[in-house]
Amino acid sequence: MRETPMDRREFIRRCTRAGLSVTAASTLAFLFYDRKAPAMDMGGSPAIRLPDYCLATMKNRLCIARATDRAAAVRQAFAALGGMQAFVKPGERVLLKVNAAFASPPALGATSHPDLVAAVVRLCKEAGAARVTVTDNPINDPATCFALSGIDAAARKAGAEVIVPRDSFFTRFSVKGGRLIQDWPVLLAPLLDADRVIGLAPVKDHHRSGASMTLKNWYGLLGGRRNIFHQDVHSLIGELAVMIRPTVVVLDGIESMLTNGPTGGSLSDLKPTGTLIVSTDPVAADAVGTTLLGRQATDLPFLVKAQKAGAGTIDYRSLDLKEIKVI
Amino acid sequence: MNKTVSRKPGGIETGIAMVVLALLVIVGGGVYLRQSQINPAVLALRPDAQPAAVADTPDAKAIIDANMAGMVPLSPPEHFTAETLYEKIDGRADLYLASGFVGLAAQRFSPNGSTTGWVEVFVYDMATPENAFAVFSQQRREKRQPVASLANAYRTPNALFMTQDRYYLELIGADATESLQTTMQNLARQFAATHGGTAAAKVPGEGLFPETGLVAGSERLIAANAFGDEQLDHIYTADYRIDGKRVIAFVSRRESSQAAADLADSYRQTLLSYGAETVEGAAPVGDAAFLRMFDTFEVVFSRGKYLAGVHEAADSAMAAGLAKRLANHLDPLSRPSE
Repeated sequence: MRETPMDRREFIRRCTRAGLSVTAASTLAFLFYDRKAPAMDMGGSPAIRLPDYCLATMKNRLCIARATDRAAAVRQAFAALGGMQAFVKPGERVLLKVNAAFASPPALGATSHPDLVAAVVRLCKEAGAARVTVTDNPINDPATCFALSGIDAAARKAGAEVIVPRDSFFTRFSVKGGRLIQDWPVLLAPLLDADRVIGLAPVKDHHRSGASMTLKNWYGLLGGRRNIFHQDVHSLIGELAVMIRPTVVVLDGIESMLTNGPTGGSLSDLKPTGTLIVSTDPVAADAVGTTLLGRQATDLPFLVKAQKAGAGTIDYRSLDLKEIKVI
Repeated sequence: MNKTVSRKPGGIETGIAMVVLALLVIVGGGVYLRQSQINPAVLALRPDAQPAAVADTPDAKAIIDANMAGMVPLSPPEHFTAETLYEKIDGRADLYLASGFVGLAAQRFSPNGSTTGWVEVFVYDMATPENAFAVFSQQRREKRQPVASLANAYRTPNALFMTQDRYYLELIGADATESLQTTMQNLARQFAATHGGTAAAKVPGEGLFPETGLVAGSERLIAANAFGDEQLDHIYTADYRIDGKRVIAFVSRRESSQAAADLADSYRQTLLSYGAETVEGAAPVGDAAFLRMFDTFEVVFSRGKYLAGVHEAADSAMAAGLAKRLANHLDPLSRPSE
């Protein structure tokens, strides 16, 4: 096996081959090299955990109020569930997560109605809340969204503080066991500064997710370029349902946006559906809301995923259900 | 002085080399797996991956000359690209992006700068009149009224929607007063006059469907993924009211007769794969596929360069009758191009 002598030609050939191999490998590495790679430290804080805002004594409560007046409906619906004082104790800080996603007038139903926001703020204050804050993270011009939707003026007049998001309010956050919300900027500052969280959302058709109600409303807590989640919006909402365990949610179906959601634009996109839902189970609340859109809860994959994740039940009739008619 | 070298590597060298190669394969596999489950935040939160919508300065040129309509800008113009459209319209962006969206300019106007009674104008540049018609027709409201002197437009109590050339416009009023509606119509006419006038106000797909039984204003253009099938793009649909029941007819002009025939066959195969069954007996149109899909009937055929058919008919006679009429209507249309 040891007989071939290495002459100069063979030596040069082997050196050339070796050199070419090294050059090819280096070139490949250079082409793959990402000069704009993100820092290894994503800036997240794994120690941060969101509190569970639920009340153990108030689980599985649901009230469906048939009404035309939002303020009267929400007052009587809470009364049917034991009053706001059952949810908010004197001295507690309450955060209302509204839908202020668009700079759209209240009549178009694309955002939480200011009458409803004001009514819930008043109920919280009457229950003895030390402070009531109202927030959302509309991506496009938040201040204008809060102003033109009427939420800003209504909330302030009723005694609440409106928090318009700033960069410093967001913190990288990961949902335990989540696949999508990992090291993602979340509007945590107002959440961590609250003892109770109440979600307020209108019932809307949604081009991508099928419907936008209380669970989809948490989408507004995400920062960054969150539209990338639209491709897997049902899983994303399922993770949001795990991320936020609210004290109670209020789903406004007094009028529902049946077509061209989530923005709508025409009054003809709305239909009077005369229903307001208050529940400690957001999945159940959305299941009721789905019927207002003429669909079934099982038609919406995000509801199925949220139920599977343990965030609530689609079978809303299995809860402690109150149905009232508000005159 | 020639030294001898090994012609072949020894067993130990081969073994080491194999181990090194195996390790490289494992490392490569690990990198691939890790990258396939990449955290979206890694890419989406890079500074250069966060384009922002551009808002002009307050004195920037308005997107419509509103002075003629007695309006003044209430906000500076905003401009959105495909990357930033979601910032303005959130989940509805997908509809536009699937239909050839190029850009959106939006601005609010109000009479005398008042903060009430304002109107927001959205001008979507959709690249072609067909794309503009696609988004216009797919969002058409059921309760609507025509607008005088605007060909492709309709109004609702608080809004006005129209296409003009390559643009789709939404004028959204903050209230439903008739004075604001009049103002919106003036704004719309102003835009039409400065963007091609009546010559640019043609309805794409006009004349594709037989008129008898056609529900007026029901023509739609589905740019992509029609009837949930990815291969069906640029499909015109129209509603027919037959014996009080709604039936959908569809037509699409393809590149060639062969392409139309191939697509008809492919769509037939897709329907069969989803559980459709062939209806026994003669097809209503020569070479047509006549299928029963659960409780509804589908007809698919081609005529020259046209793919056509009937979708979700409540009974077979209705489906067959409309398919015959559609085929007869398309026959003369398809001849000149053959």
